[in-house]
Amino acid sequence: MGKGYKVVVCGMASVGKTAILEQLLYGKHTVGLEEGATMEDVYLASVETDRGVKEQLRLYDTRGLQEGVELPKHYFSVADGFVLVYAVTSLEAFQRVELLKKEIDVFRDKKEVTVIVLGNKTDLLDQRQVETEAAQQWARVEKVRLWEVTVTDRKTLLEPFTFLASKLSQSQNKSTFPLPGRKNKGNNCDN
Amino acid sequence: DEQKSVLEDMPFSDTDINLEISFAEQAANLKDSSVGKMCKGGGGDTLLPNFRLPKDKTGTTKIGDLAPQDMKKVYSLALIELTALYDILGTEFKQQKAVKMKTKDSGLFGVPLSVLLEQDQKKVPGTKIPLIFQKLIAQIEEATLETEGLLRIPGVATRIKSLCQELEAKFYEGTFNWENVKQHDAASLLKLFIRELPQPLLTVEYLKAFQDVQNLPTKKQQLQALNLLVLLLPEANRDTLKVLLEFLQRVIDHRDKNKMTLKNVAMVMAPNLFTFHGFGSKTIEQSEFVMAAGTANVMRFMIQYQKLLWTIPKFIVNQVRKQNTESQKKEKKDKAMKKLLKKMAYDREKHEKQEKTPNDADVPQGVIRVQAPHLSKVSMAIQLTEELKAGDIVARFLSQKSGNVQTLKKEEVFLYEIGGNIGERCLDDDTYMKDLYQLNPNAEWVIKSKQS
Repeated sequence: MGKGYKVVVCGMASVGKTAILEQLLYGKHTVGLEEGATMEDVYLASVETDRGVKEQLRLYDTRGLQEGVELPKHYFSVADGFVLVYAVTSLEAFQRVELLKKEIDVFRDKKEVTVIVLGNKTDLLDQRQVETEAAQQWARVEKVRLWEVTVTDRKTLLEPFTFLASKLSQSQNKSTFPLPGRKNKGNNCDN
Repeated sequence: DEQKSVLEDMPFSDTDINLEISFAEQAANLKDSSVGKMCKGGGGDTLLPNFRLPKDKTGTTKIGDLAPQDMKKVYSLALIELTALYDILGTEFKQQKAVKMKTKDSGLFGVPLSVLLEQDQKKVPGTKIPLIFQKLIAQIEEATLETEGLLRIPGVATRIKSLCQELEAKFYEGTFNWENVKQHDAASLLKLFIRELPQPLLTVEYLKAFQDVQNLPTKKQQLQALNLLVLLLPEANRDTLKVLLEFLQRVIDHRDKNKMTLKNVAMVMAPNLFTFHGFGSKTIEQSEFVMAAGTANVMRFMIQYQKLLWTIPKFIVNQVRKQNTESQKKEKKDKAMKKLLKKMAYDREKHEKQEKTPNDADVPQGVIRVQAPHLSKVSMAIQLTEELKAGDIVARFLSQKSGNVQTLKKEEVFLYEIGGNIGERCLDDDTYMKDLYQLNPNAEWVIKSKQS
């Protein structure tokens, strides 16, 4: 345990959280195949940052949220980053993401948390309920990056996760490395 | 006549083996009932029943599925059980003392198994079956198993003698020329190898008990006794015996061509495994002819039921679980004492450590978390249902195997039950997870490959 940055992937049920991860990690997706609801799966992914370094991400694929069901609190305390997922075909799912962002702000305390937002299912053109401009407008206010993606095209997923990995490694390098010259607490007995 | 000999190998009836109740207890119950007397005395006939293992919902445990620390317990339990079984059935059981004698500490023939394996492991790390033994079997199979009279027809004595010497000199050098070895010679060398082991393959301690299996009243009891005896063998002996029995079965599978039926193979092989002159003159005085016929029967059992014999009976596994639970209780008590004596600071530190893994504590009822540290999908929370089997869980992890990490084949990884009331147990695909979870609620579930 404890290897890599912990990233919690969350959002409404059936927005495609698992599909996004499976496409990202294994390059495969079968559209419309409901594999059954996720309980909580963890993936270990190695993602290249914009500086060409590989970072390990522990991606927590969480159970899809229903109306009135909240994301379990412990996720907020362990997460180094969040991937908030909605489907552009569901206004309700987008509103849930807005809510989740607020919750993160409340819980994050002083800890630095990287958040990205993904609007999935852009391939379903005629069912769109969330307009691109409106979503981006919200993202600008919230100061988070938002991408519209589709699991049918893996390329759309690469930029968001590269960004996420880069952001995580920048923001946390400082805190995870001990300062030179200063004795690291608890390390005295080693070596 | 040929028709008849093929029929001989055919089982004539189905008999279920009960693995949940102690064998000795079953024997005692049978003795009390009148039914027992009726099916007594079927020692001599040639037909073997088709013993079946009833499916166990919590999974069948095979030798090799359990961790070494639990196998030690299995060993002591099997010894107690065998003693009780022989006692109830009125057969004397005495562990024979190993006689100390000088043995060669290098070479191939007449060298103890342990020495051979030590030699071999320097050549091929992880070797569990003597290389010469493996090579001889491979050599026989390379020709064809359809050769008539295979294993029965001896090689040429003078050639075998010189082959022996040549092998001793050149085998480990890798300069021995196998091309010139005739099949019957190789078969003779294989039998010679077994005969020449300074300690018999079935071990000095248990050889007599193996022989005495033929005196037990019912076939079922004979099978149960053999099952326990296999558990009692040291690993090297057991592994080598298994490879031999598997090979013999393959020979029998070609009986249409090679005329080597189960009966024939057993007859030919038994003397190699059951003869040992180290006990002193007493045993030899016994009518060797009678014994030869009897040991051939035991040999037939071992070949015929090899799959069953490598199963660890459920009542023994359950006993192991009980023992582990007891010792954990004791440990917990001891730990509680120690904790009191330790500083508060230490406690706090430990507490903090535990808090870092909040997910495990958060698993709701009826859900297990399965870890797969070597796959890219490292963990999965899975809802238990009545039908969910271990094989399903492995499949759910491997459905993503097209990924970038490593490609693992279905046969290579298994679900393991680790901790709780068992050290470690490799689960067979048909294990019902909910039933097992109830048997061992504190276990962790890990997908990993089998170390062979």
